[in-house]
Amino acid sequence: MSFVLISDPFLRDGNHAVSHKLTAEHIAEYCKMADQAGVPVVEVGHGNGLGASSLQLGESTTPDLTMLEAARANLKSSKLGIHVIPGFATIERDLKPALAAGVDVVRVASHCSEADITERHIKFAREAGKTVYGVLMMSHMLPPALLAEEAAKMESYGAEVLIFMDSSGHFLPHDVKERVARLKEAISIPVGFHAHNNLGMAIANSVAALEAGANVLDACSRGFGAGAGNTQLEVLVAVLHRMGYETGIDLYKLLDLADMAEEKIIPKVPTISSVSVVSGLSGVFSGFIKPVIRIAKEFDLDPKDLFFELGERKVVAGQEDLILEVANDLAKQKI
Amino acid sequence: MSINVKKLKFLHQDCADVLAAQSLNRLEKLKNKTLYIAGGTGFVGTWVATLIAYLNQHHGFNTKLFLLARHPETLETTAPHLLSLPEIQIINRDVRNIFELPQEVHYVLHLACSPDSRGHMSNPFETASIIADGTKNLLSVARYCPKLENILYLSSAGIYGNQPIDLKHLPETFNESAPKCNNLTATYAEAKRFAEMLCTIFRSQFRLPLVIARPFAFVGPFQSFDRPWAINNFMHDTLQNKPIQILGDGKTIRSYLYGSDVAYWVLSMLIHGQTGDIFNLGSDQEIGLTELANLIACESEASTKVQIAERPLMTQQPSRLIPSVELAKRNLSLNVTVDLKTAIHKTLTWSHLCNTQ
Amino acid sequence: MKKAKVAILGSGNIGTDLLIKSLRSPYLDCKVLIGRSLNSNGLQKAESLGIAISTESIQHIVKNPDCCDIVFDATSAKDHLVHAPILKKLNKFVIDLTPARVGSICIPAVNLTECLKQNNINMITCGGQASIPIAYAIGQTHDEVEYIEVVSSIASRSAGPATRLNLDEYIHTTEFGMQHFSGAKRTKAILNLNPAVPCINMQTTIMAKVKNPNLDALQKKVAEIVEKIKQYVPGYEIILNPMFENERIIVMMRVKGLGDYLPEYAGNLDIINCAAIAVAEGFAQK
Repeated sequence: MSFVLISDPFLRDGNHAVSHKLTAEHIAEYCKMADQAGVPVVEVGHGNGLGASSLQLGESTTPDLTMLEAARANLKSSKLGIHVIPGFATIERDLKPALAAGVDVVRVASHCSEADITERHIKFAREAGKTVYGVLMMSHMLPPALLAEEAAKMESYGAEVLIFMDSSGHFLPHDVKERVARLKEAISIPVGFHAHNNLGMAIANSVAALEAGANVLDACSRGFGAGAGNTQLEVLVAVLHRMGYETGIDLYKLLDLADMAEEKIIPKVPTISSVSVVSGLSGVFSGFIKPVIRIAKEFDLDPKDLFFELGERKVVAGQEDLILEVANDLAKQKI
Repeated sequence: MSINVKKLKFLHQDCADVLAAQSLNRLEKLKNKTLYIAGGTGFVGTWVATLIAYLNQHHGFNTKLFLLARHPETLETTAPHLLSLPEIQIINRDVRNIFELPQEVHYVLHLACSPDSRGHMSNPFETASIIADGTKNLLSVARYCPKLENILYLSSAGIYGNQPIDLKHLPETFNESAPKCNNLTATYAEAKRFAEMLCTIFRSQFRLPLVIARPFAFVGPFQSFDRPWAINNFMHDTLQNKPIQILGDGKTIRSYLYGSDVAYWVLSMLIHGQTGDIFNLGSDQEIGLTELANLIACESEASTKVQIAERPLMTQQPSRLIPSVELAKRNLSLNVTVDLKTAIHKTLTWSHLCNTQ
Repeated sequence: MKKAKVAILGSGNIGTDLLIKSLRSPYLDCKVLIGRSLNSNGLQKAESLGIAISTESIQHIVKNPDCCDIVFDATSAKDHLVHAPILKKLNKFVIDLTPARVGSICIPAVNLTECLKQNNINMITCGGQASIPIAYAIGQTHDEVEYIEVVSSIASRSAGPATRLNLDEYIHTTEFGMQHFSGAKRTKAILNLNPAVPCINMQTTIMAKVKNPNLDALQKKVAEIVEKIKQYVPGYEIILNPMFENERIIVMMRVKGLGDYLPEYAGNLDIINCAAIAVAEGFAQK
């Protein structure tokens, strides 16, 4: 059967789950074992990517370059990947030094309807000789045909793989199938999918993506990631092997990696909390869960109400400041 | 009762009927809004303006209209009922020469062009320019419309090229006809295709909210009989008490959507269409030309004969142009509410009213 | 009272919006809108308002040096680098709305008087005009400012191709301006494009890490400076007064545009134009 490329954003998306507090030691240990297990790409960084450490999104305990150096030193055959959002990361200040630190795969991301902001970053990374993916976030917010159009833009800028993300864990399998099908019609580069588990559909959605023609999947050990977590890596690989797909990954070593991660890195293994269900239903970015809970508490509001209101306002990733404003408004209405 | 009053009653009845048969509520988004119609004096523009005038008069919609037209004086003959309405403001300009839209506009209907195919051949430059330059200009100025909610561009079924004879209904996804830009007869269709390209560009690059409607054939008041469609020729023949001449073997298959349905469908697509949507605008109720001729002959008051003209040298390819309207039906709950027999009857009645003036 | 003569270089949406604002000003007399091609909607609009137009670019001013005392340059950074030395020789007061940044950076509510002594003023960025006054207030009321961060969200529809290709420049220039006016040790600027419709108004949040936060003093200073800003940007509004949350100072503001040529939701473009007009009026009144 065919090969599926697994890309593991444990050390990036997982940073959302620990308020961006992953340390160089965590990174070194995880990379060492992931490399031994044969995980093809290991993604490292602040939850919102390169240059995103900020008061808005949360400051990381470990600076970007320190994280990358720790990873680079411990990845021999696995590739080192980063997530880069223009508007947060600039080429001069953030991307150049990251490439100098030895990054292999640059995943340039935008909100699903704003692909045209990625042109310069993609071009720069391509010209620097790196592998470049184009990433469309919150992809439930566009109908499949328009998503495909944005993907085509990224392909034209030089993206070599197109990843679409279900950043809020909103999709059901047919949503994913439809989008993969349209993407395959519109672009000739491989298509990949990044799931979140808010509605318990991460594995099913990932499999649906493959069946519709995708061949790249993101997944994290124990599903460690924003909100309800990502696709659970060791489970996904087990499923893929049973279905006859090849991943190049040693399942036993992968399971050891997950055990180590649970023991030493993950404070609390992701589950689908009530709030996660609501954020999935309302289509709000999973990374908002911590600030929503915190701010809801401050303003004595039900976080579920806050989520639905944010969903109504079609808030996008990066707009965490809006949470405070919406909470303020809701609190005033309560009086 | 004066003829004008009779005509007005006729139109009002059509409006009332279509609103009863489709849904009045679904047009409520138009209340208190402002519409800008580029190309307001053509068939679609006049019908839409008529329906809106009715909604204002009978249902208090308070919808304002700007009608952009190069020759607004034609309304004096075709639709005088629109000229006296306070909510309709006429702008006498070419769509290629406007440099701004009124600030209060919520919806834009871009209908400006000329479907008269004789003009396409005698002045293809002007035909292409109105469509291409006009569309580019209108979309450019729409960018600065602060309250803009949606734009509808009226394209053409011509961009599909020929319908394969074994394909029963042309869906919006049909994509198999190649551009024919070295063929002068393709001027209108290729210009429309380019205009759709401009729509895609403005929608994507400048984030303009925009839907496209691809019209098939229409029938009803406000249609000039010299528009060279078979149905017009047949009705023209019968109104002149001449036998209906069918050129060819009569096996050509067509469909015709009546004006009041056209107006309702267009408004519905405009206010409910999601940006990026493309809809066929036409009837899926097909009829062969011989059958059509017979139907018209039946409906006309005179005893009309149908004649298949002898053209032994003409070898005709069977031809079919029937839209799939499943998308409009499913997404917008639209229906063909005026069947062809009724449509013909109404159109002939209207013509008699006009001829009596 | 004699009005100052103004020429506007660039007939795109910024230049045309400046034209309409100039016409409303009691201190400015807009003499000409200069573009590159007669096809421009801005030039047609100017003509319809009875304003002279030209398609000769900078050559128009070279050939008619008496036509203006003040020049707004709303072309592009590349073009301004060509225009600046020419206009300097002609002794014009230049207000540069491009990212070229040849001259001093100006926030009217903060340093207008000093800027009026120069002959080339740069208006930084839209996000900068919104946030830097507040960053300045933070710098004025605190001895040690560790870090200031500004996050702006603008309607996707208000971000044209130029904005999208120049996000990095926008970020660096805004950060530079914030650092210059606040003395903060580190600064960061973030720009979010939000595609929601109806289009959102420009919204900006400033967050700061300071030693010994002094909210009272800050609130007073912010109120003071917002009063000044509102005189030239009527749509500027503080929507969250300075507060302390999660160990940082937060202030939030929203800018609703005047809707002159650009839609109201394009407050980001409007504020830089309003600021430019304020500078021109300051010069005119000298």
